[in-house]
Amino acid sequence: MKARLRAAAAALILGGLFVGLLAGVRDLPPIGDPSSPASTHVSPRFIEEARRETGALNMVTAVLADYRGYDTLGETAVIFAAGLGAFVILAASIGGPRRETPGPGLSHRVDSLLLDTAARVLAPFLLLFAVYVLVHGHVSPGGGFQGGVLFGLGLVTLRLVWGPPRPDRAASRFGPGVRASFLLASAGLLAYIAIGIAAMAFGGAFLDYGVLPLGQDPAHVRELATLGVEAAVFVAVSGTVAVLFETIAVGVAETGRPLPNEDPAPVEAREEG
Amino acid sequence: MMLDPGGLIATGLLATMLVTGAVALLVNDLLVAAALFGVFSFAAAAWFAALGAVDVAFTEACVGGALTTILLVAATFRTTRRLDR
Amino acid sequence: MPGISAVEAVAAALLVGSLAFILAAVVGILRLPDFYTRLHAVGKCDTAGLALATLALALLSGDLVLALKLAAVWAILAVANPTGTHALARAAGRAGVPVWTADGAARRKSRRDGGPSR
Repeated sequence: MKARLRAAAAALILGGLFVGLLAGVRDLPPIGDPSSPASTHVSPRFIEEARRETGALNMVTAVLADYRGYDTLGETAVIFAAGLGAFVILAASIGGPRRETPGPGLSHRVDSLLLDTAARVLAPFLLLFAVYVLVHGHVSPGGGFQGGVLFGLGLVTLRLVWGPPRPDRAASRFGPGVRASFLLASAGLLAYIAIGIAAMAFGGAFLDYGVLPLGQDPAHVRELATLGVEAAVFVAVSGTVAVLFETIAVGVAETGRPLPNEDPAPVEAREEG
Repeated sequence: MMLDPGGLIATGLLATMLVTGAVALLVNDLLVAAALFGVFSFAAAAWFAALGAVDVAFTEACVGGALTTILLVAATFRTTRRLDR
Repeated sequence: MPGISAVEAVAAALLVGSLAFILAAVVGILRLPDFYTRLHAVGKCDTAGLALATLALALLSGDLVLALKLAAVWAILAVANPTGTHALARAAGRAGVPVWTADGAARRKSRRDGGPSR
């Protein structure tokens, strides 16, 4: 009964929210309305000036990392907080009395020649492509966020195929990967903030890159600083992706039985010692 | 509705999103729901690309299609696969 | 044919071939009896169909850099798709997904038809 009441309350609140948002949407100008403020003041300014002011061919990058750098800083902080939140919640659940020491989970070593070879072939290209997406973000779609996610996924691929060979009971509350990933994520976020503060130190506003002493051409300076910000986002996001995978996937007990032609020894050894 | 191919593709992708999203909410097998969410994300990414928002499409494909699906599958393994109602 | 160059004709033929392979994969999923045989159909036919499709798109692109990028897509598909199929089959084997056999199917059929119970 109580659960039903709670569900009814949730439905009521969400329904009200939906109606309220719908009412709000009615006041918005139509999509693509050429006479809306966004189309008359904001967009033309970016479309006409972004190339000259920031040196970025891809306007999306110019807007995200330069004009709206403060928003992107907030986004990066939110992503970092998500990784931190997953870690805090799951660390509590693993350390609790209800669960024994986590097994190697999804991150155990997969003894498959095919997977091993494929990961060996694909992972370098995946990691390299992530860096390409980062540095090419000025010209083509992409940038720090997408590159960071791709890099993190490359790390996840490596972790899936070449996890630790044997669970280390003493040290495997989460394994060494989490600490390194957290270092990466924090370093990225701090680097972003540091770039903003560096702009203040040279007399500009927070995240006002144009004043940094990186050369004569202000557009080029902003381009370089944008690349720096994107690199910071890259590091923060790839670290957070790794944190999320390490905290959520590690501790998942491997279920199932070994294949007939497989050596069952590792499974037995894990259960006994 | 316009009958140009681009509009048809966009409408088909939206329909795919609607169907996969609804089925993902209704199934009792959470692993199936996670896989359907992956399909939903790829349809969304293709829809964004069809609308010309290539950066958004790229992000949706990376995050929704790959990362979130992996994390959902991992979370399913860690908790429960059957949703008993 | 008027208005269609030789390159376009070849690309169209390749696309038709690609669709034929993908259709075979769909038929395989719907008609084959168990997980492994369905995977067997999808793994091969998808890889072949997508390879032909990328080849057709590379021909149609008319741009060397774009064609090389599509070739890279093809190379990654050619490695990743069979690997994924292998990983799926391996995981299913470890998880104990039953293999279809003619005997098992006959037993189930006789049970369903009200034959002697077990």
